[in-house]
Amino acid sequence: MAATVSANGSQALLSVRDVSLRFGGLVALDGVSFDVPAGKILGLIGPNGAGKTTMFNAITRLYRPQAGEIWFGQTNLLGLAPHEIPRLGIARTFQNLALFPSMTVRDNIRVGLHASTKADVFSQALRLPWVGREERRAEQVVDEAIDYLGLRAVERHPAAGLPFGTLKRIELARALVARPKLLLLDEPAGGLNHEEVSALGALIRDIRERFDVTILLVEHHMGLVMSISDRVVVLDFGKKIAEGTPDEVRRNPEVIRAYLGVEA
Amino acid sequence: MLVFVALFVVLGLGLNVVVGFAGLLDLGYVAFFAAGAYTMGLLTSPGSPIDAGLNFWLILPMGILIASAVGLLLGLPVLPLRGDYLAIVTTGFGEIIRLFLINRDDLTRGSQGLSAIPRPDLFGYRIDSFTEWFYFVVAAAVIVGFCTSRLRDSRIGRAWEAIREDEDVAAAMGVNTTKYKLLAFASGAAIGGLGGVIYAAFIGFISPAAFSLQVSIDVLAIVIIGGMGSTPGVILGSLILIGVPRILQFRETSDFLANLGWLRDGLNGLIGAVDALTPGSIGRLPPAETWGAQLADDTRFIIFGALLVIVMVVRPSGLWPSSRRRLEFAHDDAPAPAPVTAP
Ligand SMILES: Nc1ncnc2c1ncn2[C@@H]1O[C@H](COP(=O)(O)OP(=O)(O)OP(=O)(O)O)[C@@H](O)[C@H]1O
Ligand SMILES: [Mg+2]
Repeated sequence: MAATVSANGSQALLSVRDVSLRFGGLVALDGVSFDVPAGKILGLIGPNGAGKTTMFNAITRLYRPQAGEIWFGQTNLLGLAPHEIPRLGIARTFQNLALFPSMTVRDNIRVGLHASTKADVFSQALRLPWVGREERRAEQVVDEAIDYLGLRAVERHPAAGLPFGTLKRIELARALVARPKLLLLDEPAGGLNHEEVSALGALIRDIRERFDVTILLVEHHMGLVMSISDRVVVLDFGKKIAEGTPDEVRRNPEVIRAYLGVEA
Repeated sequence: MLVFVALFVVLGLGLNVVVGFAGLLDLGYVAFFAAGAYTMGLLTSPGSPIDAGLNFWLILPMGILIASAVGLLLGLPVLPLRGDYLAIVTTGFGEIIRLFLINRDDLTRGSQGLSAIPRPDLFGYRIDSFTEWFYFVVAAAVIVGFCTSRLRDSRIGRAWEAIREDEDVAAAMGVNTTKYKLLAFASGAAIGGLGGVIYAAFIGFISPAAFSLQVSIDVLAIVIIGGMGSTPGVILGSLILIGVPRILQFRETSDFLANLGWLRDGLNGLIGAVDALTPGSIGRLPPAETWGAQLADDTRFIIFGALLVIVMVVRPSGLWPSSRRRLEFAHDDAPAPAPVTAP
C-alpha cells in the first residue's frame, strides 16, 4: 500500500518506510522512515558514516535494501531496476562525482536527457523528422542548463581535469535537464568556499522555484542546511534520531549528542 | 584489391560500433561476416541444399537480419562480462561458428565450401567489373558510415559512450545497459552481415577457411590503428592494413624497386667506406632486382608489423582519433550546428 500522506498532512512525493540495509555485518540503515513533502526541501543530515549516501543509493536502486519500502507516488521503487528510476522523474548528484571523464561537458549534460528522450536506432539512422525535433528541443534544454549554471566557457572541454566546483555544477546541470520531480543532492557544498556556499544556498532555492522540484538535500554544512531546508531528518549509525523543522532539530538533545559524540 | 579495402571499411565501421562506441571488446566479429556470407551462399549457390536462387537484393536484408540475430545470440550470454573476459568468450564464439560451418557439411558442404555464387543483378543490370564493384562497395561504406556517425551523435551513441565510460553511472542516468549493449552487438553484427553478403557475391566462392580468427583480428586492428570510434580512422586503417600489404605484393612495386639500382650502389659505396675504416667486413646489399621478390616473401609481414608497432607507439590513440577522444580545447572545433530535418 502506498503511503502518500505524511505526518503533518501535506502530500508526500517520496515515502521511505522502515528501510534497513546491511553490508555484511554492518547495519548502514536501520528501519528508517521519513517522507519528503512535495515542493519542499528536506535536509538529510548526520555524522560521517550515518548512512545518508546509502539512503540515496537505496532510493536510486544502486543498492537493494533488505527490508522496507520506498514509495514514489504510487510506485514502489524497490521493484524497479536502476535505469528505470530517472524515467519516473528522479535525478541525483553524487557525493564523489560520477561524470563521464572523457566525454565533453556538453555530452555529459546531454546524457541527463537520456530518460526523457526516445529516439531509437531506426528513426535515428533514417533521421525521421520527429527525431530532429526531439534533438532540437533537447539541445535547447541543454543550452539553458549550460547558461543557468555558467558552464558556457567549458562546454566543449572534457570533464576530466576541470576544477571540483565546476564538476559539481556539471552534475547539477545533468540532473536538471531531466526536469525531475525529485532532486537528490549529495553534499553539493562539499569543497566550496564560504561565498560559494551562500551562493549555492540561493541557487538551490532558485532551482526549487524555477523547476518546481522537490529536493532531498544531504549536506554537512549546517548553516546551509538549516537556512534552506523546510524540514530536516537526522540519521546516526543508520537510525533516524530526529525529524522536524530546522529549529526543532537544532535544539534536539539527541542531535546535539550525536554531533558532539563524533567530535569528542 | 581496392574492393577489399572498401569491404574492410564496411566491416571496420561495424566493429567500430561495438568496440569504439560501446567499448565492448569483440573478437568474434568474423561470425557475423560469416553469417551474412553464408546466407548469400546457401540461398544462391547451386551446390547448396537449400539453394533458392534468390536475388541478391532480397538476400541483402535477410543476411543483415540473420547476422543481427547471431549478434544477439552472442550478446546475451556475454552481457555480464567485461574487458578481457569478453574478448576471450567472443573469440571462442567466432571459432564455434567456423567449426559449425565445417561440421554441418550436410548443409554447408563443410570445408569444400559453396561455389558459383551469382553476382548481384538489378533489373537486368549486373555488377561485374572490378570498377563497378569498387563503386558499389564504396557506396555501401558511405551509407553505413553515414548511419553510424548519425548514431554516434545521438542519444544512442551517447548512451553507448556512457556505458563505455562507467556502466553503473550510465544506468543511474537511465540508460538500460542490457538493452544498449545488445543493441551495439546487433548493430555491429548487422553491418558485418551486410559485408558478408557483399563479400560472398563478389568472390563467388566461400568456405570456412575464409572466416578464421584472422579476419576478426584484422578488422579490430583497423579500428584500433585508425582510432577507436572514428569513421575517417576506419577508412585510413583499412587503406593501410588491407591496402599496404597488397601494394607490397604488386608487380609494379617490384618493378619500382628494381629501378633503385642507384640507391643500392650508393648504399654499398657507403658500406664499403665504413668497411675500409673498421676491422672486419659487412655484407653488401643484394641486387635491386631481387628486392621485389624478397618483399613478396615474409619480409613484407615484418615491415608491416614494424609499421603497426611504430604507429601505435607514436600515436597511441590511433591515426585519426575521433574528436571526442582527442582531449582538445579549441573552440573553433565546434560540433555540427543544430541538425536540419528532412522536409
Ligand atoms: N558499498 C559499501 N560496502 C560496504 N560498506 C559500505 C558501502 N557503502 C557504505 N558503506 C558503509 O555504510 C556506512 C554508511 O555509509 P554512507 O556512505 O551512507 O555514509 P554517509 O552518511 O554518506 O557519510 P559521509 O557523510 O561521510 O558521506 C559506513 O559505515 C560505510 O562505511
Ligand atoms: Mg555520504
